[in-house]
Amino acid sequence: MSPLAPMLTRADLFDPVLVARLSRREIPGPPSPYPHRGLHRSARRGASLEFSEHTLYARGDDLRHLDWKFLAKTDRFLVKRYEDERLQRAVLLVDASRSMVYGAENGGLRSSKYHLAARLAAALAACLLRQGDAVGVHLAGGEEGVWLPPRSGSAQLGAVLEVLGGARPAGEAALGTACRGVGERLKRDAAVFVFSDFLDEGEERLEGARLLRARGLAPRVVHLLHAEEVDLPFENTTRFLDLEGPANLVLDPLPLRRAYREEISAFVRGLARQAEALGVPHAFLSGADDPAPALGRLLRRAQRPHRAARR
Amino acid sequence: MDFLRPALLWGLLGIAVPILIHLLGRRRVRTVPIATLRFLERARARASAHLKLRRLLLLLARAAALGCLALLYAGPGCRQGAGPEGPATWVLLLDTSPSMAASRDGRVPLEDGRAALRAILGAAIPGDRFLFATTRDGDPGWHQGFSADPAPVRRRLDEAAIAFGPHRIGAAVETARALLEGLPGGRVALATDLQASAWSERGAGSARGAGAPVQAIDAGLAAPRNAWVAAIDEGEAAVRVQVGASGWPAGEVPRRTVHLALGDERRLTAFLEGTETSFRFEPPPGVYEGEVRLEPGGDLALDDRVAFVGRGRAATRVLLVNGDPWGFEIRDELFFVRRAFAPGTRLAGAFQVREVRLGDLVPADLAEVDAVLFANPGPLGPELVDAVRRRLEEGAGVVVTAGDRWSTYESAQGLEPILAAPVRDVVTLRPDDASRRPFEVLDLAGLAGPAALFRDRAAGDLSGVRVERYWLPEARVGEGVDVWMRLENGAPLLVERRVGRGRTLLLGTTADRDGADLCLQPAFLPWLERVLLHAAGRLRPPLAPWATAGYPLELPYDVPVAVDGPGGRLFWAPGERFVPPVPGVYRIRAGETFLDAFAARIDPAESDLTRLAPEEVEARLGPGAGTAGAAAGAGPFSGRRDVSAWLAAALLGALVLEAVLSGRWRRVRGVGELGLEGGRMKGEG
Repeated sequence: MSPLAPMLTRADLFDPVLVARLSRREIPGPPSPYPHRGLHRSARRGASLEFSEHTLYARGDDLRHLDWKFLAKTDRFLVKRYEDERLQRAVLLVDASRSMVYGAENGGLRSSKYHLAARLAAALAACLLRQGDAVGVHLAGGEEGVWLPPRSGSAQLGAVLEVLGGARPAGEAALGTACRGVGERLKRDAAVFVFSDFLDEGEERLEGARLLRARGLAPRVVHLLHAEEVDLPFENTTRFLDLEGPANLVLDPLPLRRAYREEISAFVRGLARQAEALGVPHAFLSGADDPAPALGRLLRRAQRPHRAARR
Repeated sequence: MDFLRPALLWGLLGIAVPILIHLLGRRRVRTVPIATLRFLERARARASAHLKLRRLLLLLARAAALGCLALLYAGPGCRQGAGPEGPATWVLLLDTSPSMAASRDGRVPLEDGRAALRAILGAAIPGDRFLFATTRDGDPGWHQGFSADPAPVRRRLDEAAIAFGPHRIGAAVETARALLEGLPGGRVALATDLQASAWSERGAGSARGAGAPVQAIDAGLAAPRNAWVAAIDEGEAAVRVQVGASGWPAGEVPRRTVHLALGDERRLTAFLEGTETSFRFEPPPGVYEGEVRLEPGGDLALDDRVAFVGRGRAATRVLLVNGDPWGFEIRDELFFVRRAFAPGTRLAGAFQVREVRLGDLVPADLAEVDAVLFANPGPLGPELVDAVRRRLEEGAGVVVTAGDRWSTYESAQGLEPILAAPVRDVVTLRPDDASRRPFEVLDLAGLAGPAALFRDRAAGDLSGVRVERYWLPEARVGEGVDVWMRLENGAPLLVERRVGRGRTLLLGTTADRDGADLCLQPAFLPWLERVLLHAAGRLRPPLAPWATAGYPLELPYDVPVAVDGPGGRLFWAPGERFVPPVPGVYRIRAGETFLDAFAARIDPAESDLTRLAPEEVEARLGPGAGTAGAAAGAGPFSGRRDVSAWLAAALLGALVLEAVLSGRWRRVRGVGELGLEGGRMKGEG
């Protein structure tokens, strides 16, 4: 395949309409006036006005949080726990493997699956940055791995767009390795948005997401497929060339279409079931779908990582 | 299986096209990069069990579709057990009698029969030959000969219409069998309504002979019911209408309304419970037209509205010109003639008589006169002679009787333009002359023309007529002079000459007792009546007021006439046959002069739609005959069955199978139809 030049520009990646729709639907209010205090709820307990639960008093607990009324009624010591509210940190893990180039036949990289992933990641980054969160980027696969640490501030959006636009999808994603690396770089209380087609062998089991969960992070999975990958709209006998390898296959797609669609459906459903089993918020998007509702749901869950984890 | 157009079977080579495409099409493939082959390989593994079979079926479906298409164009058919082996020779007979025009609920037997015969033509195979004819006598279709091309036969079949006139089904079948004798696969298809009267001995006779098998196609209406105007009789002051009905059970014949219309002004209506009603009215003078309409009239509309021609009372107008009036009546020249027309005599009602003296005669007296009797006329002025001659040419008659005033040669000369023949001499027999008989008698055997009736003495005995004085006409000289009465000595006594459309007669003796005693004979009245009617042109046989459309009619004219009918103007000359082609009123004219009129209607036998039982029809048609309904089409009669419909169904099935197997019928479905929605699974909260 020919080199994919030119790269994606800022205009290709930043979709103000999508950003506006996500912001309108999901941003609850203006950023918090308190430093180090954000809109996102932390998995940690802390001082806030949001009651979380009662726990038995243990030595060392702050007596200010003792529930005196309950003590007066029952003669039992219970301590009130409150949810901590902190600034969110999020990392956008974007699959830049060779398979993400699918769809670049007609319009270059602009009509590829990677472009879709990068555009959605950019919109998500813009929304998170607007509400004061810190956003970083990690490209899985590509000619060279790229890591942009999470930072807040409007300047970070430019950096994010630059990283996404400068990528050259190549090789394999190795999402498990990439997730492990991200988990090692981040502390707890960070959300990791994974944008991938999950077509690499072995990725169907969401091993990377499981690793992130184990490290106390909050992974969110955005499963992307090209519309042609879902529908197999080809009519005549076709030679299918594997983007990530030399293998090819000559087939008449018409009689296979139903079975192919069933396979794709099973794949998508299986991945969704995996995510549900792991408690990882999951969204599936094809090129033909409106991404705003699905991304909105993911963004909403990113604000309540501990609740999502309890599900 | 056989084919109407076997040359088109070359189209079967088109089956090779999908096979070649199938074999060669795989060489040209489009390359599509895809993210992973994993799912395609899994899909192929899942479908591999059916893939080869599916591909083979797809190839077969495409080849079958092309093969069926080629076979369809070739006109496929197959033999049936009942049909003749090999090509057949058909005589297609269509009953076009008026009863076939009956109609009920949009069904017309003629059209049903036509469609059934058309179906036989449509099922023709190569080698079949056809001849189409109608059951009408003398149908020209018999002379067309057998045709191997169904197209002209179908054209004649399409053009066949109801024909008025004699229809002889039995004779037509016999003619068809005679034509088919010795020909292979000869068959007769007869489309008819099985109307009983058409099969009666009187109407069509029956065909009992053996020969080619006959298939009668019953195109008639089930239980036909019809009412019709059976007869219209003109009386003195009324018109009597008789109505016929058939098909209704006794006691269930509906009440009917009969309308009589005379021109645009007079309309009369009667409600009819039985079969007869009368309309009383003052008939208009002369010939008039009317129409009787019956409602409800049943299944056949052709006989519900019948025109008729009335003649009213038309007396012959006679002008008596007295050439020698006397003061003493009994000696008057016209005494006996006048007495003949006196009230109470047999001539009183038939003649409208007016008398004028010769000296008072003016040309205006001759207008609107049918006959003029000049009794012993003297010299006439040239103006009067010219007026008489013109009236003669217009068709009036002149009878001249001799008398004393013809004693001079000059007087005869003055009348010569209107005399049947110039007078040569006057012979007077004297009683005292012993050398010869004092009178002459008539040669009864020589009576001719209007006097021929009196050869039979029962009609009027003229044997006692004695002629003592007679005027000898130059009968041999006048060209075109006919002698109707002679004396025994050969002398002509009554001669006639045609002038224009009229005729002038000369009686070579007197109308009173001076020259002969003809006026004293009992036969004088009938003789005078016939002579005057003959002169007025009314002695001819009366024209029948009714005629039957399609049947020949005797026209009682001795001159060519023009007949204006519903279909235009027809011409007739004496000796020819006249056939009114369609029902309606016909007016007869000689030049611009109206002579008479008559009405033609359909054959009353056609109105009775009672059907003959199919078994009876088969018995009359003889061995090999069968009857089937018109809806059966060509099936029971054809030896070939068109299988185009089956092939078309097979083609459709092949196309549907191809569409199913190829998957083209499925539209490209989105992810949502696979149970996936953007962002989450279906059913997820």
